[in-house]
Amino acid sequence: MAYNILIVDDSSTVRSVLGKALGLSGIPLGGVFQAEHGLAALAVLRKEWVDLVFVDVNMPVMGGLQLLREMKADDQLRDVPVIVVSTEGSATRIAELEAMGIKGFVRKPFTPESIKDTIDKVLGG
Amino acid sequence: MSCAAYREIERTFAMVLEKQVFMFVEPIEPDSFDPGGGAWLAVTMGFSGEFPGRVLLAAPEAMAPEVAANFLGVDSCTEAAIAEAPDAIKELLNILCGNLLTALAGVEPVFELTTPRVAPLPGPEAIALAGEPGVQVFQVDDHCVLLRVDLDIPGGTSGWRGRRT
Repeated sequence: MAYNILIVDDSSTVRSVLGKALGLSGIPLGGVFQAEHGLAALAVLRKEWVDLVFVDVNMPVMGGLQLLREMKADDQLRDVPVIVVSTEGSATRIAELEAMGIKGFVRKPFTPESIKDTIDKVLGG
Repeated sequence: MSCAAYREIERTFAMVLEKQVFMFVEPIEPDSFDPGGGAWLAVTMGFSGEFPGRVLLAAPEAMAPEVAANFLGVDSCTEAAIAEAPDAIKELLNILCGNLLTALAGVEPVFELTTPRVAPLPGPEAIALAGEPGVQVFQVDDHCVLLRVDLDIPGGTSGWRGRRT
């Protein structure tokens, strides 16, 4: 099975780095989609089949928290696994994200290995 | 700001640059500051929450493609590194800011971060900035870099509860 993955981050650099890390992770990849904020991510999610979403927290237009709320309110999207990749270090905020059902959290700065380890945990690799 | 806070900023700056872009950071004395002959960039962002504030990173423009290249794992002369340079240096400050806030305020408070902005910084302004109070000067690989963290805490840092983990 090849996985379709959506990367949501306002930094094009981070989107590129995550894309490379996914390529190095060894998981079978189908499509790798990108979005620069939550609103653009919702458009992708409602058009494409996505198996896993990587999302930042702080983004213009629509941030990661609002994207998670929108996904939870949508029957078609609420079960899509989400991994948050963020500079966020607040335990309060991370607990809030976990309560919203995220499957993994990677703090920036990150390494390709930390991305791979989190994918393995979430996808059971 | 207290000496401990400045040391925490140094430690966090070094950690972020080494881990994310494989660049090595050495604090240097302000009078050792050498702006070089090239153009400079100022990257700024703000935050709000437990206390508001701002972070400013001033760096030679030539450093930005190196940051992008190290993020991406490509050569700094490649089109990708040059194209991503402004975004990469903004993201570097974003990562630094988030980690600084945890280092300085602990893991309980929640902060909201603004989107980083980058603008040219004229050389004379970089020189003036290096002499301002609160500005820390670093050697980052071959570049001199300036960092200023402003914490808007009523009564200054004496009224600050400090790091809570």
